[in-house]
Amino acid sequence: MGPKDSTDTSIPLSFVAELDELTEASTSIPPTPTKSGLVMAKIILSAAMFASDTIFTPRGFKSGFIAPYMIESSTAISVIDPQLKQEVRRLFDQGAYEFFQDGMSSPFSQSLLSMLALHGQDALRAIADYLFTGKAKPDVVSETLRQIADHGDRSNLAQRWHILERTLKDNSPRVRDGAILGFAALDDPGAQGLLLEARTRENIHELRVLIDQVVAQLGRTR
Amino acid sequence: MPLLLRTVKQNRWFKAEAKPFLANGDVPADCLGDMSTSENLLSVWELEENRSNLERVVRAVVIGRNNIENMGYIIFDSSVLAGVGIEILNNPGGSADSGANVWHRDLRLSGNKMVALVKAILESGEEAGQILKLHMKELVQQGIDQGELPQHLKKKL
Repeated sequence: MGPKDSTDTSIPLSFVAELDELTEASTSIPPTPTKSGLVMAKIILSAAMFASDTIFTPRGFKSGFIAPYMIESSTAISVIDPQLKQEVRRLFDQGAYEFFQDGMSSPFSQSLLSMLALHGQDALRAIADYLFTGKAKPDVVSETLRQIADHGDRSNLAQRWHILERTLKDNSPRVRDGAILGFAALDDPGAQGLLLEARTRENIHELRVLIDQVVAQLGRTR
Repeated sequence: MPLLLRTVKQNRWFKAEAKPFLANGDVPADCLGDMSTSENLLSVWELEENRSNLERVVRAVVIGRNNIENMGYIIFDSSVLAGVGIEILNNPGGSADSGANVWHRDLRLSGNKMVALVKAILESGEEAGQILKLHMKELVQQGIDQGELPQHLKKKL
């Protein structure tokens, strides 16, 4: 038996668009809504609600952060540089041949972090875009989730959070493991509800125990 | 019989994932990757009866890695070793925690014995566990403060 909604990785709207919304939402003042913008907002908000029954937020972000004024900005979705997309694909292909071990740096994780340092938000969007194609190997996705959770700042917290939230519902237990550990690395008490919800649909006992550990950790975080 | 601990990547040892392999008398190949040997010896750690040294032996492994990270482990009863003809050697560990090294053991393996050991662990061992990174960092800091670990490990925190 798989987790609830086993097809969840096929996202009903452009994931890059969602990340763009979150980027702008966390960095800019909301523009005045226009009529066409509001129509778009309704469509995207519905899709977002379809994709997730409950919206949890990082600490410090207002509840229900996929708000219409944030979605308004989706009319100006930026395009990922094709060269960067290709670089990401190449990186993930190489990562597929690696054997990851806890606590050990790997050529993949080093290249991933270099790419994030060099290209910032663009790299994060390109990585997210590739993660959700379903082409990436679960072990590589899992490693990526831990790395992007661990490395970043407040400016891209919402995007990293969103990626973890999506992957928490992935078909692969290894990917879900990476998402759970990613939330542990973020160490944001705002994730408790999200993790408890994930626990109810988790069919791997070890992962339920892991969620309990992370929730307990977040409960101690102030 | 004492319990033995081996550090592994937890997500390669999910019991539910191993079931179909075990049903066919086989083991998941990924688990074998966590059983790397040197001179046919596999490094494991013996646990005290009350498991009071569990976190310390896992910490002893982590401090030898590049980064202080979360670390997975499996625990199994040493009684399974006799069943598959594996010899246990009282070789002290070489970690930076000299106090923990006394709990180190080596298992003498061959290819067939390694597969048999993985099978025995998946069948009768405990579920794989994990110590989270944040707690691991606390443990390392604590070890430095209490003089169990060398000061130079501070730079890894």
